[in-house]
Amino acid sequence: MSQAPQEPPAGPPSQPSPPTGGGGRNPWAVGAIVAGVAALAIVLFVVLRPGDEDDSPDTTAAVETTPETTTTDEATTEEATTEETTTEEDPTTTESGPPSPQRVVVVVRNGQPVGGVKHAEIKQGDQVLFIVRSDVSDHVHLHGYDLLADVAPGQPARIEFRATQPGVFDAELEDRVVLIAELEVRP
Amino acid sequence: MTATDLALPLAHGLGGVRDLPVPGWLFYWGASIVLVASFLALWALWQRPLLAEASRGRPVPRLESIVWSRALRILLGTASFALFILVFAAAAIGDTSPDDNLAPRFVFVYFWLGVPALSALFGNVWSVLSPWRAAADAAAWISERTGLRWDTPFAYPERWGRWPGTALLLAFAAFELAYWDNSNPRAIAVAIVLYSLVTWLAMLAYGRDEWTENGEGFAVYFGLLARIAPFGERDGRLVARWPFTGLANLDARPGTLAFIAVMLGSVAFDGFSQTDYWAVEVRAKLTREVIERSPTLADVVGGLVALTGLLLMVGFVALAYIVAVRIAARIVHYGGDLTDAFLGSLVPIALAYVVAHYFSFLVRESQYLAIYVSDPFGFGWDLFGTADVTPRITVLAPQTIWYVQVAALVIGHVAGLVLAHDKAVELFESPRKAAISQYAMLALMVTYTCAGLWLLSR
Repeated sequence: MSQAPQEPPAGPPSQPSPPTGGGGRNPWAVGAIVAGVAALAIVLFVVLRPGDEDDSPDTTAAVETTPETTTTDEATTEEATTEETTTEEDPTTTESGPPSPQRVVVVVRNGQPVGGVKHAEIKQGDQVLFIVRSDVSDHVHLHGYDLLADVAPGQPARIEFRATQPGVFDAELEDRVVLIAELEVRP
Repeated sequence: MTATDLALPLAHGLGGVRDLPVPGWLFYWGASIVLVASFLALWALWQRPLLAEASRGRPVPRLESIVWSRALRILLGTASFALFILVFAAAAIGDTSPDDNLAPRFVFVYFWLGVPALSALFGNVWSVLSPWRAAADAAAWISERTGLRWDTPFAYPERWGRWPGTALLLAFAAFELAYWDNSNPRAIAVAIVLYSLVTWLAMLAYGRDEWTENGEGFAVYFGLLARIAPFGERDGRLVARWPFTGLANLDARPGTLAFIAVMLGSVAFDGFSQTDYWAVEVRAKLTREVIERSPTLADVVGGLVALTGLLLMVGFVALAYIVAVRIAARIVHYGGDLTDAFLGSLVPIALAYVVAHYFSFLVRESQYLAIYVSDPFGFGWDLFGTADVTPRITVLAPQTIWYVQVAALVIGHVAGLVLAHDKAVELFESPRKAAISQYAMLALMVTYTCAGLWLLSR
């Protein structure tokens, strides 16, 4: 890079007062304006930022038991639904009993998730019932939480857990290494 | 039987949890700051080159006498080589489960992500930590003492430049990102043997310094990142300097663009390969046909697909840069080639990509160190009573991770801008030419940075 830039002595066509160049600016003024823009950005950020704390997970009872009723309605909807996610926000969470879990259901046909990889958004702290119905035998592995359940035709995999940790967690058919669901646990 | 009885805890592989995507509002904030900072920089930055002078720094003799002391060098070199042997032994004879064996996490996390962090913070630590270099130096010292003289048989060809390093770094990236069995300790053992043989033979053939500067992919990589650090070397003295200024006088020997493109492209591809688009639309579709017939073949196909994606991403990074500098040369009617001039400004962006993509991963996976200290081979040892530590799935709050990610990209972007601007005012005599030459560079950097932000928001 020893070559000198080819600078025509006559100068560029639009000689008078270029908009971006222009030597001899007062560095203090430049600094003040840059600082002003930065300060404005910070103020706007603080004011406009969505609150982080306003939807913290509710810290009501951490109960691991499942309402047994879920097994029956599952059998009836076998194969009928391709994809369902019922977010059962139990209105009666006031210490009357365990809140019913959020259900995430994936149906696997020919070793592939019907309707593509299932996305589910889960609120951190919620109880989750993850159900996989499959027409092939395999193991369902929920990464991160490291939960494993067998699945076979007619025997859905059921993984219930409390979503205590935020992050994106993959669920795979372990033997086939097929991604079937991504659970996004959001704070 | 209740549902929870079926759920068995398992050891989890590398990357059991991924970071939550950066929320939309923060994505737009990051992108807006990048744009505003870019235009502000065009208008406000200095009109005389400053950074080359600033990169000279000032000598710090007292620090130099400690960190460059022979004793410390020998100590660190010995420790590093011992660790190298330990990792290799774990890879070769340890348990084959990636979670119980020190080697996979050591190579892909502590070494591959930890040393860049140290380099960017403290300077070229790899020059004393490299086990390959330490062993070669020791061998040279012994052979001198015993009267054996080894004259380097070949002169390193200058036109090769950093190309051998590029090839080796790409080979490592392909092993990490495309090879389907990358966390198998035995595969890692083979890779260590191959890389060590290449390194030591090439050092014998071309000389230790020449190969470290050009061909030892990791040394070249860490050396480039070390130019970001506030410590550097000038005329054999340790100097303290402003961060990033070490990139102002980056020597652009052949292969440097390719090398930086591999740095940037491999991280970008790693991010891209974790998006749904890649997993579902590309990888799954291309491997679906073979997966039922032969899972092994599906692995190979998946690996080739990933390798292609990696190469395309590296090519895209390099191409975007070449197009940008061509446009810059054209709009200022510059007769020469600008390709080499602005390479230094890409390195902060490469570091920003690394921080944004791996920062939380490095923090999280560091918890496993406690386990490996007590049981490096997975033989069921418990040397220090920490073998049964259960790592937490999440260590950092999602908000913390998001802010670090976006801040890294924005800071990397601004540092890149400043470096490119400084180079432009050095190259072009009129400030106006320097400014308009930066339109193209700005567009390039906004592309890189916003692509990085976009990947984080998927």
